[in-house]
Amino acid sequence: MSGDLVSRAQLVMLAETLGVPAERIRHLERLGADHLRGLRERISDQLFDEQAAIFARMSRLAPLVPNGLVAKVSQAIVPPLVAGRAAGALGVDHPGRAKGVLADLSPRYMADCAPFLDQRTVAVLAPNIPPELLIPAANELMRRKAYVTASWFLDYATPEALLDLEAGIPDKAGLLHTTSLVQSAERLNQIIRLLPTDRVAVIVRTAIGSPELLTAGLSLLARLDPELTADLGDLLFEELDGAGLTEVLRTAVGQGAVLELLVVAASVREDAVRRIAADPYVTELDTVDRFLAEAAEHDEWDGLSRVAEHLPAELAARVAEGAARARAKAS
Amino acid sequence: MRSPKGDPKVDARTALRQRLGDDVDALALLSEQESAELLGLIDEARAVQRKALDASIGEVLGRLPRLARGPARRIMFG
Repeated sequence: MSGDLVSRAQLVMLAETLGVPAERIRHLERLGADHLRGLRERISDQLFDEQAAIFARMSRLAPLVPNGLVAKVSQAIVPPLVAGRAAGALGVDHPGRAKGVLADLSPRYMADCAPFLDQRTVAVLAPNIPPELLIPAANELMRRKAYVTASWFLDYATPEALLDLEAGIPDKAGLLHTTSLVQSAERLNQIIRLLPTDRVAVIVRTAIGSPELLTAGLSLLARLDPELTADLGDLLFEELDGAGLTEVLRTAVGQGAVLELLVVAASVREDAVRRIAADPYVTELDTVDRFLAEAAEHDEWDGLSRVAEHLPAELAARVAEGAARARAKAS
Repeated sequence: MRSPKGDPKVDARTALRQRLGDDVDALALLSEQESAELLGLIDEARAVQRKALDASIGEVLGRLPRLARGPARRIMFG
């Protein structure tokens, strides 16, 4: 499921690059996040490069037009597709003016243009843009639930900008959604390590707010380095009373996030594993069989093995037999 | 299946590889039909982008201060 969430995000970004609804290319989701990203980046690069001559000429217009007029005219008549496409080229050629123009643009217009920016120029420009100019647009993206677009910027934000953005975005649930969609696990770990633990804790705890948030939360936790998964997973489980834990486990199964749950269970502390194993929903035969099927499908046994150590004897035996069968079949 | 545009003797998978480059790993995983569809979508995106750019340039030039319009037109259109 974590892979699915990230793949889905990459699919949405590819669809935005092509200017079609995601449904139109839904069949490409099977390519997976890495392939979809490679495909999108190459198509995006080509769409920009084909217009390089026009962007270069537009760039030469810049000295004729004051910042205020650029912003005013853009918002009045330039569609976001064009403004987003041109912004990168103009920003790279005139880095000193990017701040001035952005300061005059409305957050809504900036959010409209965001999906159409050239990723290569964002990487160059991002370090020089003061976060206070981007935070209103980031909050607008959160308001629109445009988490896929927002996640893209996390790839390029500097450490300082990440800290400022986190502090400037009050919608912590939106931040959880956004962070869970960061494509590279390495980058995701960097981001989580960079943010102070107490702030990450606030974000992770929002996971119990809804089934979608829980899926995002488990997806995020499952992609972290094991010690981070342990620390943050414990924080999440500490939030839950007995009924809350049952609800989370039920939701994980219902949302197709069992694999993530098992990965998290492989890392959290013993107390959390005992609580999972003692939960009345987990001790149902159907649930154990579902866990077994997921573990077998993904060859992910550590979490289930830990849980099984604390299950009633007959269920533990069922897990052991299922695991042995799956491994024999695989070998 | 033929590529939507370009050399009709080249199949869509080859055409897509020629367009995007041999080093895009995902292309090897696409069927002939998927390759043809993707080529079509890329062509549509290019056309939409080009049309939007052209329209915007005309609009923007019309909104510039009068004195700047002449030099701006020369920069954009030679």
